[in-house]
Amino acid sequence: MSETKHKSPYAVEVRGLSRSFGPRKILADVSFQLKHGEILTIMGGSGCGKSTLLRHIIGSLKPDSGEIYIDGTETTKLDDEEFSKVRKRFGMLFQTGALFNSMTVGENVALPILESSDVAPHIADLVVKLKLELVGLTGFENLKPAQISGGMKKRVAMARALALDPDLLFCDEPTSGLDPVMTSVIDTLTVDLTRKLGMSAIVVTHDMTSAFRIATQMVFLFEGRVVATGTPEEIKANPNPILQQFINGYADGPIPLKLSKDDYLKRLLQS
Amino acid sequence: MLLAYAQLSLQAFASIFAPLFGQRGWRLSALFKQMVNIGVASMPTVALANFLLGIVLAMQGAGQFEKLGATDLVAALVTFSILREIGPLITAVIVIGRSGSSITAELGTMKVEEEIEALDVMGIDPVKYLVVPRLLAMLLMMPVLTVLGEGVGLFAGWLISVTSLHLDPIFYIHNATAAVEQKDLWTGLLKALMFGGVVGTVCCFYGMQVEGGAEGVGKATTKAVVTSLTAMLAMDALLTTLIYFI
Amino acid sequence: MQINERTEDNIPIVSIVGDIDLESSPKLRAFLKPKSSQKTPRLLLDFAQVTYIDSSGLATLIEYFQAVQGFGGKLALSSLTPRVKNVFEIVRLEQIFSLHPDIPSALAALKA
Repeated sequence: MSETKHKSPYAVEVRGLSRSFGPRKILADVSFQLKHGEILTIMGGSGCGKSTLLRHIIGSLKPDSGEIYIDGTETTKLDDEEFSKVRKRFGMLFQTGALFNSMTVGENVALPILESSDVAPHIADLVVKLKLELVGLTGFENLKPAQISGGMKKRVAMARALALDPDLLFCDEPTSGLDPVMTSVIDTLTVDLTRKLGMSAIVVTHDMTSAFRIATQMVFLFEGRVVATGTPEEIKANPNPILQQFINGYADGPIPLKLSKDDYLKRLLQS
Repeated sequence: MLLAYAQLSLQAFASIFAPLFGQRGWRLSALFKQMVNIGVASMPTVALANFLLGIVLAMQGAGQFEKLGATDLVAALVTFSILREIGPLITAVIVIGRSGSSITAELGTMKVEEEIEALDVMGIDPVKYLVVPRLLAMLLMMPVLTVLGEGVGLFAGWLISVTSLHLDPIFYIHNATAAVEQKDLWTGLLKALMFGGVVGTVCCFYGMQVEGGAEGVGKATTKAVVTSLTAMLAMDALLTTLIYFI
Repeated sequence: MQINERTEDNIPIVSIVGDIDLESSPKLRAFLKPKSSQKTPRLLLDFAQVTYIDSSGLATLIEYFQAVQGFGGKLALSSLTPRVKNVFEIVRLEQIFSLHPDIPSALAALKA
């Protein structure tokens, strides 16, 4: 997060992103922008394409069509080497944590530091302590991921994502599996980092409380399409029934969770 | 498939030499860890397998040569076949079963658990970080293990000949050294080196390719072992042809 | 990053200019190493022209602070820009380091 001038007013800009897996269209013409220093939440039900969208932005997947700009640089056409330079400024928190099981918690957090610079191991150790303190895990350095709970793994993964003081943080379901107190700790941390240090963040979540607490911009996906975008207030006021069903958590509504009686009978009787 | 394999292998071999050109390279500590995992931990099994085969060779040979009244030839048979063929071969088989499979399973599990994707996102090249230490350890340890195995195998042959077949201990050694030349030792080690390269690249390749959870890891491990064995035997046939018949 | 040193009332005042990041923090560490081995009793780090500090920079300062505690010395930091001060605050280091708005107040604290 050095004080270099930004090349573009947007930290991330996605234009007309589409992607199919076989006949299934996962993402259809998705577009949105994230300004520097803001938090964008991508929301939607399970299987709506949230994680796939994030994977495209971090470059793990390539789109069928559309463009992705990271601070003005079009990334979908970069080769691995060029992209790895852009990635140096990323932090990514995976849904499952994706910690290295063969390493201790401390080694996990230290890895990005030691692999991308020539700082002394003692300095890296101190950075690890600072980062673990941020996520409330001071003193857990020497445990292996298998020895800690799922929620703790997630927080270690957060510490690792922040190890290199990223300009841009991506979180895939950062608060799933966390208790309400720890959810709040992680939310506050994300907000502090953006407000105080100018970091930008994209958070994929279906935790509505958390989303409305942190977001400055929201994108709502349904079946791979952007149904609504806007500030939290705009989203709350948006009359779209799909959106309202989702943010209020109603079991019944336009989201086709249940088959109609006729369709249900037809399915049951199909051999 | 074959193209992807060739690509990974080339990339891995190129990465081995990357530090020479001033690029950020692989870590020596990671190499040592793999050398212990792959090499040192395999030593007892490799030694045992070669010991048993040394005994079997001596006894089978004795049975045949006795009919000709030429039990002295046992020394030649044991030494010749262990150095040229049995030593490198059985060592590679053990290493494939023990370490090759574990490389595929470990990398495969890392792939499934998104660890490899995490490396990518951190800007750490998984090939440099994961594949190179394993491949290099294979290349270095396969010949070392082969030398150890051959030593044990030769000793076993001598031991059984002296104790059960009542051959003269000194005369046996004299016969043994007369039967082979230095070339036999070197070609055996060359084979071991090539086997190490084949097994290392194949097992890493299948590990990095895994998809589809625990089942995928299991399938990839089986494929890696079968392919390694087949490729190793094919390589053996090719090298034998090149070295001794052309 | 550049490091300039002068002395005022026997207290070394070290002005750091530029970014303290992964690339430059080893340089700062190399500069502070002899200070701690000589057991410099009082040291003032002037942050007026520090444009950015990352975690490795903070860690370098913590390491020196540990050494200072060991030999009973004093360390003060002065003139942090709001942005740099925020970095300290995120990890609550403003509670640990002695931070001062300007050089005179930092000097006064060191002499006390």
